[in-house]
Amino acid sequence: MPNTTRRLGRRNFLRALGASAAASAAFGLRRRPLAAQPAPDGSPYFLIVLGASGGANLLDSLLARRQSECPATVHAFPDQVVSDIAGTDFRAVDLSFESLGPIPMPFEANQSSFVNKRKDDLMVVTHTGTSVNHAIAQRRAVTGNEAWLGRTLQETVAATYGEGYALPNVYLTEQGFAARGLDDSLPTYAFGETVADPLVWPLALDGRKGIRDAPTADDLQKARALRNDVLDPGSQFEKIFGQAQRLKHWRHQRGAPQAGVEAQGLIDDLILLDEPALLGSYGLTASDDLPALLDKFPDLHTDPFEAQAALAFLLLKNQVSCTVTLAPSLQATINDSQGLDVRNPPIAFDFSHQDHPSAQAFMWRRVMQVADALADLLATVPFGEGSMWDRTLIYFATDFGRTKNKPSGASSFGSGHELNNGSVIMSPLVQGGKVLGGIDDATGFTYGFDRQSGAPVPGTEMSEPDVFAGILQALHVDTAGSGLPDVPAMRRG
Amino acid sequence: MTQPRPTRRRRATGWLALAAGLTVSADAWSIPQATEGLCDVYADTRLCLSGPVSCDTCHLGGPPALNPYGEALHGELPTDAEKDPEVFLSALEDALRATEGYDSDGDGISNLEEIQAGSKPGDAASVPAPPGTCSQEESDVASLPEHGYDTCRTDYAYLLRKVTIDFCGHSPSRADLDAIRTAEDPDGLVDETLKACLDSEHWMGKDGVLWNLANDKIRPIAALKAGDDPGPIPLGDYEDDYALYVYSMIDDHDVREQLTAQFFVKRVDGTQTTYELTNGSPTFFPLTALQTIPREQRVGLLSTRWFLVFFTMFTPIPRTSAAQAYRSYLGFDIAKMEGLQPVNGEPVDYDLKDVQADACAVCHATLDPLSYPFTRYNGLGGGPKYDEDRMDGFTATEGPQIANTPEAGVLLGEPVADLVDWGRVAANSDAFAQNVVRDFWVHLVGDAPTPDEAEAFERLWQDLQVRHTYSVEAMLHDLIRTEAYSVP
Amino acid sequence: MSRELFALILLLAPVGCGSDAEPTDPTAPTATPQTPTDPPPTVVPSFAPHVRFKGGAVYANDLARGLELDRDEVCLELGVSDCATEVHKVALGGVDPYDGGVYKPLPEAPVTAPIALDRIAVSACSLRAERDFAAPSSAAFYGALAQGDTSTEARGSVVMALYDRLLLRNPTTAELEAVVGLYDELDGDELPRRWSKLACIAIATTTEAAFY
Repeated sequence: MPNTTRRLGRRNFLRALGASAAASAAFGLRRRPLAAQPAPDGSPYFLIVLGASGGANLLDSLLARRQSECPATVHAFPDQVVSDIAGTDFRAVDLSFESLGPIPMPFEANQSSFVNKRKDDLMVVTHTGTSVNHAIAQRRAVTGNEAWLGRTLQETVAATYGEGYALPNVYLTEQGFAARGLDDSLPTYAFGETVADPLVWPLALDGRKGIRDAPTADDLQKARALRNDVLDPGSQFEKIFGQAQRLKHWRHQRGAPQAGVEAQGLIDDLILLDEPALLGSYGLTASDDLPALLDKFPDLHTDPFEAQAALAFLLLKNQVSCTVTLAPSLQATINDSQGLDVRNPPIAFDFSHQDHPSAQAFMWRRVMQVADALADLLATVPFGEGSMWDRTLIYFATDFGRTKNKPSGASSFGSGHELNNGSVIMSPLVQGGKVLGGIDDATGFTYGFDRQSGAPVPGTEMSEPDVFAGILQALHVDTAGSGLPDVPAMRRG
Repeated sequence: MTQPRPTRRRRATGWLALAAGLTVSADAWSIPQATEGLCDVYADTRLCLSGPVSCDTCHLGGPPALNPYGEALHGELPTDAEKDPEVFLSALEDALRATEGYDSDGDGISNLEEIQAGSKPGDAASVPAPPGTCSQEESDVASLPEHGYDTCRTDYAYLLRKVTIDFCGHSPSRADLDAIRTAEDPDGLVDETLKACLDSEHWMGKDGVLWNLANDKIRPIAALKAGDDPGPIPLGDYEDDYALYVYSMIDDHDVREQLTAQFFVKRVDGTQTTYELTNGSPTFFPLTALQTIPREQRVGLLSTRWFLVFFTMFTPIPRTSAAQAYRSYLGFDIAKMEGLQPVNGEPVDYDLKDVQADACAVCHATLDPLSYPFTRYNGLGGGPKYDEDRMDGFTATEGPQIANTPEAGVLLGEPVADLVDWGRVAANSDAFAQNVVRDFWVHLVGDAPTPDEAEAFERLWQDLQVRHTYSVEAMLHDLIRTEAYSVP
Repeated sequence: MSRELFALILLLAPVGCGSDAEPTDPTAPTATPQTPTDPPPTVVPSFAPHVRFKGGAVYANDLARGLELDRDEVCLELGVSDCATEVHKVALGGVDPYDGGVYKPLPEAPVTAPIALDRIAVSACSLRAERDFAAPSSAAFYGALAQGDTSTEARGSVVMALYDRLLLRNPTTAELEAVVGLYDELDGDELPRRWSKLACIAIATTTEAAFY
């Protein structure tokens, strides 16, 4: 493993561990089989919200324009770097940069290999948002601008499919994509669990395992029963303050949700630390999937986004969660072991304020790599007659687009926030290969489509509720009576 | 009141309307003056006395979607009020009065009663707190030592425990608790404990309570840290910012120095952390940690190297910097449409970012004039410095009009000549004092002031301004004696 | 056993070893109270319960003081990193501003919070018991049990001490009986050692120990 300087929150912990990278390997065998798989009919679908934080601009990826097509003041690329993806409406940009904005770090950003590989599962939905404020726009990206009683996509999916899951809805980011919705009528389990650090979080999935001289599980349960059933209910403290919301919430969390987490023995399924001897001396083991995860996410011990993705996969695979939300950090992630190696620029896609083309190219590469790896991994997990990937949807949620204009002929420039944009969705459940809507070469602005057929309708704009509804419907969530529009063009079959 | 209360059925219809996307357009119900207009009518109610009125008084989460109370108002307003703030404001009082007798959220309490009590008339989960007074019988029981907590008056053992935990970072000893229960001067013991704990590492040391209150204001990034323990791209040392922040709140210093200081503060580690004032840069080497703004242009935490390189960066018109300052030190989050005070003729759009579009102008009419005084402070690309001609350097990339961006702006409705003036006006504002006290209230009490606590909260921030001459420590001696903190 | 008899037994029981500490040390334990304290039958609940979570750091500080452990030995995950202030810091109400961008505590306790709290108590209580059973003559809490006295009186004395040191009050009679009675619910070997840990864990993870 490179001697990185990316400082994890619990850096002393990791330093002490001296975690080392494992060699790439095929999937290890599970120690025990998965819980009985539900029948495909009525069994869950899975949602991954992949937050493209800061404004992922479609003009810099699947809707890229060529300079020969646009006025000199509209953002477009040299013709030769933009490729058409055969059999689809997509384009891709393959570019090399000498620097990432002001950061003197050459890099290459190749999109065509990803788009070609995933074209049958990729779909672009054009739309125009309603806020250019990051926090608000991110929230609206997952609530459809409060389209269904203020509930989020993740909460809706968790409410639909998550009963019986230990942690149906897990947020691996704290950005606006992980906002809590407003619909308190949803079951408690639908609301998200926040994971601050994927590498160490699994150690908090069992009250005793991994602690030397700890009581047995049975003994600990006796102590907890005494506490929960006798000491707390009878204490003067609880009689005086027991109606406090914090205490109510605490008592709830240490009830069924805690029991559900511990009963599955997740602490061993989800540990990503690569220190078998040390873990073993504490009676713990790393996830059997760690070799495969390191193959797909080789920097997971130093790059928080890769760590999020690795844990996201394990949460889905082990049927802990039916929806996960991840996003590249707004913090810089830097590896300086071999010269300057920025893995994540500060403020992610919003680094486009400093230099739009390089920031967008870098960040698109980053989210595409993670999405591709997640799809590969999920495709290896049998589910029903197919794989988990067959029932998964990755929503590249983003805040908004970026301004379309640029100084005439400029190849390097900063951009602002722009409501008009669209979303990328990747899933076998959606109309692959399609751009729903279109783009006006004269302005760089997208326009809408017919919800039934998907045919482009210049002069119209789709809105946040359209995307919200289309995603839920592709995931077979019953939206009848919600007032949401029906968007059959977004779903397959 | 004889006006009919909307039934549950009507309320459900409202929700369905929202769900069906039948709400008004984004630019319509985003009228920034609405909360001010509401408080013009209900100035003396607890809703308006407890601090800034939030958008969710009328909106579902945030504009434009309306909650049931917003819908009720909507029904009473003329149709053209949606597009014209003047029409809206002139019709608002009548609409408010017309809906006073309604129970829009169906919680059994009329809209007016809720506004008077400070709860939200459009949120059934928000209801006035019950009156917190004890009967004689209750008072007798609560005061028994065996009761454990005296829930009818200041409980000194409870208070001592909280003060020791909050300010010293651990519980008191059993002996301390027993002692205060029988002490002749329990107030004196509490004061003594607080005084000692205010000097504890838990309270004022690195990563202590005061330090952590600044996290969201400073937003440090280890990878960009300069100075001690630098990151791989050292751009500035945010520990200078933390040091000034902590310094401003200890030893009876003037907390306004957060926005007015023309000095820096150096933290000195040891058994007892201390903070020393210095007129020069706390660090001269490496250069990436050097504070470079000349003394006369320093504006406390708004002109530090970290603030400029991180928030302003390369931006010609540093709206991010202004919004961060507005949120952090005055408590107005423009992202949540708080503190909007549109300035006539704004936004001008000097940097051609299309901020005059309806959806943008709602905020930018306030934000842009708020931002102009930040434009002469450079961040990255040339390093932190004050440069009167800074905007000229952007004409090549932003167009010639960028050079017309003024340095003068408007803050809280008051013209400000430059950033030093901005800091002065901000620091002397009620909003600043409220924000300081609110930070501590939320931290120490655990929740924002409730309507029942609004009066105590108001007294605290007003005393901070006058009686305590902006000494946080003096204010804290009062805060711990509020009912919210000292009565179980 | 009647409450009166129980109290009488306690009055005759040996005092916990903690009373040997320096009396001038303000953090040192005082003589362990010997009788439970029962609340009045009626309760006047808080009108505005502003309850706060202690947070991992304060909780671990209190546990260290209460169990007479060095703070840095209370709980180390995998033997290398502090549970309260490093590994589970955010779950337990802390922040991670420099590396993780977590500037404020989470608004609500996640599911992992009570589990992480249990881990800290399990670690500290287990360490305290193992240490006392290894050296009964210098034990802080469990000296009598470690020397073979598993009587109701000995266990009652331990419970009194645990309430005194961890919750800073006397137990009620019901609490005393319940914790002492846990011993009788255990089967198998090493009952004194196991009960010592469990009694400590049960008391140390009550909401009263974690909130204030």
